[in-house]
Amino acid sequence: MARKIRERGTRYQMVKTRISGAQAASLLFLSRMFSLLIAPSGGREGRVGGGLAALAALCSFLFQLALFFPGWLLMKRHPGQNFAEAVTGCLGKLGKLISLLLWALLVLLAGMSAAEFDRFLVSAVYEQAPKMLFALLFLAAAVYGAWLGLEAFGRYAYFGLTIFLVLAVSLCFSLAGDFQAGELFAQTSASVSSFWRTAWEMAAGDAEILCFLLLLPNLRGSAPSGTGSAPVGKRLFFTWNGLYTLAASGFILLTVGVLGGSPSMGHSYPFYTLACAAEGQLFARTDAVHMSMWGVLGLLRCCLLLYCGAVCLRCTATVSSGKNPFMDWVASHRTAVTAIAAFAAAVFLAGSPQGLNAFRAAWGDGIPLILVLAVLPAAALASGALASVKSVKKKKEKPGHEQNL
Amino acid sequence: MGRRNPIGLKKQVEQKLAQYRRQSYFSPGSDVPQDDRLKISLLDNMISLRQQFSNSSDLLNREITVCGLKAQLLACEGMVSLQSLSELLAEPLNGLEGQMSSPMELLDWFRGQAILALDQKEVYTYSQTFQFLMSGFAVILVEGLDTGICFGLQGFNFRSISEPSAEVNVRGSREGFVEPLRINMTMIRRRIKSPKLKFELMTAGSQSRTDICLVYMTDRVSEDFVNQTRLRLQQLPMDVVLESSYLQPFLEKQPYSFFSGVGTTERPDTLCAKVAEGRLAILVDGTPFALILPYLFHENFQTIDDYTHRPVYAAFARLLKYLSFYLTILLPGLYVAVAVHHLELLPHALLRRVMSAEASTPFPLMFEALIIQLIYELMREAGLRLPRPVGHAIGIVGALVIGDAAVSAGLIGSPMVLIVALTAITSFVVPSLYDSVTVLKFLFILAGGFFGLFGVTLGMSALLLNLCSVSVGGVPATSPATPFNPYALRDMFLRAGWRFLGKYVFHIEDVPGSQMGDKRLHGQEDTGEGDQVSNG
Repeated sequence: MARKIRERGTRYQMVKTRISGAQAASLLFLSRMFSLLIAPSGGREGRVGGGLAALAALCSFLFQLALFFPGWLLMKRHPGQNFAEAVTGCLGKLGKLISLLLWALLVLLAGMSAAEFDRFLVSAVYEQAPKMLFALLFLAAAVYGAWLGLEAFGRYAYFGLTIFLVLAVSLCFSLAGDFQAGELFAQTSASVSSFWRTAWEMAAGDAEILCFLLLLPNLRGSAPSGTGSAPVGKRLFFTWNGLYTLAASGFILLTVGVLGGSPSMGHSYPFYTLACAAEGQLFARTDAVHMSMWGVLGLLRCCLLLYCGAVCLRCTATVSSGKNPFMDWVASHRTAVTAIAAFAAAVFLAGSPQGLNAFRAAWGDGIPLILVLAVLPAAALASGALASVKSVKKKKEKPGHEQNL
Repeated sequence: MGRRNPIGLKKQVEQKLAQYRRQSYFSPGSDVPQDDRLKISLLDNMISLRQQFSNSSDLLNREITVCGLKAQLLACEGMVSLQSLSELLAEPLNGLEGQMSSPMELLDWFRGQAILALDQKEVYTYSQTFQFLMSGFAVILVEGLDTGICFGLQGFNFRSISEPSAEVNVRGSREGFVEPLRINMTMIRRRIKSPKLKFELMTAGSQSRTDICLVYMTDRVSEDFVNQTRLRLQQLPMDVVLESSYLQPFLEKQPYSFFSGVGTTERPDTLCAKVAEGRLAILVDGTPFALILPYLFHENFQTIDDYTHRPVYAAFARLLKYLSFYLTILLPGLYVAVAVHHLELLPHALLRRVMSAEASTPFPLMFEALIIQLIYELMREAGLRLPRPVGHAIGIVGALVIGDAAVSAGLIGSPMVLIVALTAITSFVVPSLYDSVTVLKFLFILAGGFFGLFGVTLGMSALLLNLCSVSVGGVPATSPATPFNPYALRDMFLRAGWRFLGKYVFHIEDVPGSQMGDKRLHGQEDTGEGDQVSNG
């Protein structure tokens, strides 16, 4: 997104908001970690357990890479544009509709993150608290972050990363005594299909790839619009997803080693159970401290999703300079519109466990992500290629036509 | 039913607000008349000046004759040194022999031959005349001349240079800024004897016409940043500027933030250090507090003593300051959150003690924390405004009331008194952030009391987001912590030795995330034309 810088009182200059690659990597990594840490174990039947689960987490990187590739090809073809702009540019009016659908998806994901965190807090920590209260508070803070802009929450991601690393290390130290390596090899007999299914499920909820493609032009070092150079992003993708894969494997190993057996068996929130088992020198228990930390991660995730939602909405509702006042209003209040929609989604999902479960199951299957990250870029690329073939043909026909004349 | 047009609605609201503003406030405007130029006739000039000055008693005028030409000597009462006036102006004028054939000859004499005062200016308008008169200049108006000649003979009384009250140090200079602008300028010039140091005088406030001065190093500062700041000051919608803090909100990107990207200092040595790093300083006449911009958040934790002590102790002191800041804003809130919502976090021995102390008190813990913090703030405010001996008495009464009577009466638990006392001490460790932390600790008590650790975390996140959004001139206030740079480990959380620090010249434009233009003035005359802001 761009912000206006006032210059010499009268003239305005558009300056693109930019964050560094390291900030983006921290942001995406923490956002992804939130999905892992807060994920309930229900519905994980058929997954592999023990050390194999950690191995599956490592192998999930291959799926993430496969999901990233089509989008990256599209971005390479359209340097200086984000994913929604590139799709809109290739597919025309259909592209605008798709941008609107992407906006709806991101809004639902933000609502789902808030609702899931609310459910976690109400079921595991504050059992007496009213429903939806935490979801609304949480989302209000996220809206504030998204309203302050990418630079603000991009910078905040460093603070989040520092606290996360400190707490992760302290968790490892405090649980090191309880770690039993034998548990890692307790479940070694699993079918290949269930292993790869587990790996796919671990990659399937990766909404951060979409966010990354939407943020790409806002990264420092990315190609400016109109140049033919490829956008910077591959290295960033490997950094954040590599870090995530390693961290996820590490957390799963720790959970299996400390709690034993399959991470999905017997605990509603396995990582919370792990945090409950940890004891500190200063505190008798540290679960509340870890829970607070997860709140920071969730906040960053919601900020990211809301901001990316606003980016998609901008592609749909481009400023018409007075021709369509409603569209103008939506374009200039995109963050507010996105926030209102996210509040509505959070209220619905936090109030309806069935709705939340259904949406989580649909999202967890990975089909929406395949549609967004594989089918959509493929269609856009095909449409672009078709258009270029047509234009070449026209060019070829034109000289002949002139000769005939 | 027609669709409601949101743009039309917005316009209606804006019109309503403008109407309300017109009814409630006067918009600041200039008091300069349309016909502002000085006249040829001395009588006309004197009538106009007296009229515009509302015949104020402090405007002194004396008719004199210089070489047969009628003239008026004007000054403001108490602003001009009488000794300088008589020695430097009156005596040479009286001693001037012979007749001048025309007023222009006299003007030429003033221009070319006379050295009546070092600071000599010519004025052509009434507003300029007033500006100089009220700045302590003596002005001579001559019959037949539409030009006034001003002589800098200031002689008003002012506070002598003393140790700065808000930035006390152990080693280093004891000089602090004073109220008159020119004295402050000399203090800076004495420390940076470089021709690249530039002072740029301008006025702010359409009524007060307060002198302000931009201070910068022409070879280090961003030209674009200077232009933007100058423009903001020129467009200042204020009629009276009495203190540098009046300007502060107009220079910030996030004026409603808890934290500012514009710093203040009373110390000339601090100001010189910042200016040498490519920053811009603003001195305001009538206040010893100068503004520095951009100002990074971590600079609130730096003092001049950090650079005079040994690096090990300086680093330790700096970490103490960071700890104090976080303790001040978070400790009461965290205590309330843990004692109300997360008792399982406390070790058993501590839990027993806390519970036994709090069991006997009649109020909920959050309410208790709010009351005691409020009482403390009341006493602090009362002690601050009262004369010192009475202020001490307030402190003693407060200590007795809170520390002893309230606990013995069973109104407040002793752990809470301990927490408030500790918070009170830590809040003074970083004085520049005192006003922010005072409000924040109340907010965190509420967050912790209502929502436990979740509330405190959420509040802290919102606060850090707020801090991360602060920037001045495209320089993020949180830099170099985030965006990160190894400089942070050199002179932010720790303080490296001078052998190491001296090797690398810190430049504000080079901090990570900076979007300041990289064009420098290179000592050329400023044209007022800015360059486009580049993405750093």
